[in-house]
Amino acid sequence: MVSTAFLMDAETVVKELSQEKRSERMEQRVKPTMKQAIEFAAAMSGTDTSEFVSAAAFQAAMDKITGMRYTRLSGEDATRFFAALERKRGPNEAMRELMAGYDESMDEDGD
Amino acid sequence: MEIKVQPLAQKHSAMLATFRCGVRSIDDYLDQAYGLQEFNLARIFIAVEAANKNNMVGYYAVHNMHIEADTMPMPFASMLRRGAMVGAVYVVMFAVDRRYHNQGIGTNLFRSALKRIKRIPEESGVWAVVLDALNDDAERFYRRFGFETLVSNTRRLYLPVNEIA
Repeated sequence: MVSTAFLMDAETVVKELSQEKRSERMEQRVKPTMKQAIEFAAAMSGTDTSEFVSAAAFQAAMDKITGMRYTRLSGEDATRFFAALERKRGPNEAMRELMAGYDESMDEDGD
Repeated sequence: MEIKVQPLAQKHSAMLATFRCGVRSIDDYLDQAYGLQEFNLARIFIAVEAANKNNMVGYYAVHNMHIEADTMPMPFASMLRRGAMVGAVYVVMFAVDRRYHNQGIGTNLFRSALKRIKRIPEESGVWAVVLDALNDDAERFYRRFGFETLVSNTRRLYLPVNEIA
C-alpha cells in the first residue's frame, strides 16, 4: 500500500485515527536505561507503556513531517537570519571552488 | 566515478527498490517518490552511473517550504505583514548507495542540487535553501560553504540564495 501520511493535515489524521478499528504491531529494541525512563514516564502520565510510546512517536512523526515544510525562527535565529539576508555577501570562497567543479553534462534534464 | 543526474521517471522504478544507502529511513523515502512527484509535492532526482545507466548510485529530493519569523527588522518589516510566511527551498536529503560511498558522489549531488536551486529565485521570490544535516560531519561540510546552523535546531542549516555560486 502506498503511504499517504505525508499528505495529511492534523484534522485528517484525527479523523482517520477515529475510524480505524484495526491496530498493527510495531516492535523495536531499546537500551535498558531508555526502557526504564519510558516506563517511569508512562506510569507518571497514567497511561500504559505501549500507548505512551505510540503517542510520543506519532507526535514526533507529525512534527518531523511539518518541519520539512515549515520552520519558525525566533529570537537569535530570526536576528541572524535577517542579518544574513541583508548583508548580501555572495558566495564564499569554498562555495565558488565547489561550483567551479560543476560539470553541466552531469545533469540530464530533457531525458 | 562519473554520474548522470536525471529527474525521477518510470524507467527508474526497478532501481528504487534495490537502493540501499545504509540508513533505512532514507531508503524508505523512495517508496513515496512517485506519489510526491505526481502531486508536485517534491522533485526527485536520481543519480546513475554514466557508464551503466541502470545502476542507481544516489538521489536527492527538493521541495519548497515556508519560513516564519517572530520578529522582523527593517527593511523587511515594512514589506511584510507580521506573521507572513516566506518561501524557501528544502533539500530533503542527499543519499548515496552503500556500494558507492567515498567516491565524491555526494559532493556532485550537492552541486547538482545547488545549480537547480539557484535558478528558482530568477523566477519567483525565495529567501534561502534549508536542509537538515544527518550528523556532525555533514553539518561541518555544509558550514564550509556558508550555511548557518539554527540555534533552536542544531541539525537545521540555511543559506541565503544569493550565496549560491
